[in-house]
Amino acid sequence: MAEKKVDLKKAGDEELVTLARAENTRAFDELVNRYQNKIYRLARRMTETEEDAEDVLQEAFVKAYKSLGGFKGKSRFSTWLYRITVNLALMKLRKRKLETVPIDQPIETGDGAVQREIEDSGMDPLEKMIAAESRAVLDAAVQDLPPGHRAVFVLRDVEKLSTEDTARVLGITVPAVKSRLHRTRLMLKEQLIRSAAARGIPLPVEVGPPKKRRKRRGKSETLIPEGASKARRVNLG
Amino acid sequence: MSEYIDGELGESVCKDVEDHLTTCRKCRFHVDAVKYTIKMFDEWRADDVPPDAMIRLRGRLTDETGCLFAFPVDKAMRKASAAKPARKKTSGKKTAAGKEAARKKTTGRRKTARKKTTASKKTSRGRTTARKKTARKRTSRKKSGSRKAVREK
Repeated sequence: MAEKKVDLKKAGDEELVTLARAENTRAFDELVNRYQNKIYRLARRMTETEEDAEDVLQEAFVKAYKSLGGFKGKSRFSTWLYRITVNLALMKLRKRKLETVPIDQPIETGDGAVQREIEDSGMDPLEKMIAAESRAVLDAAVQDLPPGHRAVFVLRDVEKLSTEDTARVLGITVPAVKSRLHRTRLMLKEQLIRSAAARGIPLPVEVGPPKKRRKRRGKSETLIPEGASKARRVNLG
Repeated sequence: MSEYIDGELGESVCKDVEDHLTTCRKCRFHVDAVKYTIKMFDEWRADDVPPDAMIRLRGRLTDETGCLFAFPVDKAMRKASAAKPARKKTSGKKTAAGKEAARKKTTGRRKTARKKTTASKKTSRGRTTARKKTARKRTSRKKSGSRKAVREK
C-alpha cells in the first residue's frame, strides 16, 4: 500500500476518510480516536443500557468503515457518523422498548437475586444518593419519550447540535426538529417535576409552581396538558 | 417559547417576550422550568468509552472487516498502564474472607470475576471493590459483544 506522508493527527476528517477508503487503517484509527467518546455518549444517551450503547458503538464504526465508499462528502463526516449511530440506536431502542428493566429491579441470577449496583464515583454517600436519584429521574423521564422525540432532544439539547445539523442527522426538516423539540421539552419538564417531587428531590425555588395562579385557574401548574401549553405559546407571542 | 430559549427569535420579538416575562409570573415559571430541564441534562450520561469496550470494538472491527486496527492502544492502554502501578503499591491488603464474600456477591457472573481476581487480589479494599464492579460490567458486555459477533457471522 503506497502511503503518503500525512500527519494523521492534523489531517481533516475528510482527508482521513479518503485515506481510510484506500485501506489505510491508521487513518481510520485516527477517526475512531476522534469520535469514540462522542459516539459512545450519543449511543449511551439514545439507548437504555450500557450493553446496548456498546453494541451501537461497535456496529456504528463497523458500518462506517464498511460504507466509507458511500460517503460522498455532501455532509460533514461527523454528521454522517452521527446519522449511522442514531439509526442503529433507534433500532435498538425500538427493540428494547417493550422489555425495559427498572433500575431498582433486582437482577435475576441462578443463585438468587442480586441488587443492581450504581457505579462507584468516589462521592460521599449522601452526594452519591442524590446523584443516583437525579440520574434515575432523568433516565426515567427520557425512557418514556417516543424514540424520534428522544433523538431530537438528545441531539439538540444534550449533544448541543444546531437545529440544522440535527435535521441533517435525522433526515427531517428544520421545522420538524423545532416542533418535536418543543413538544419534548414540555413533556420532559412535566415528567421531571413530577418524578422529582415523587422522589423528594428538591428543585430550584423559581421552578416551583406559582401558587396564586394555580388557585385562580383551578389547574395544576405542574401538569400541563397539550391545550394549556399551546395557550402559553400564544401568550408568549 | 423554545425559539426564545434557543435565541432564535428576532430582536424585536425577543424584546417583546422579555417585557412580557417581567410581568407574567406564569410564563416566567414556564420558561425557567424548561431552561432548568435542559440544564439538568447537561452532564447526563457523559462518560467516556470504557477502555475495555475500545478493545472489544477493535476486536469486532478486525473480525468483521479483516483489517488490523490499532486505535485502542493509544487511549485505553495508556489509561490501564497509568492505573496499574498505583494498584501494585497497595498490595497484600485483600483478605481471603473478603475474596470469598466478593465471589458470593458476583454469583451468576463468576467467570470474569474470577479472571479479574488475579489482578484485584493485590489491591487495597476500596480499589478492589471498584475493580470488581467494573469487572462485573465487563463480563456482561464481553458476553453480549462476543454473542453479537457470532450472530453477525
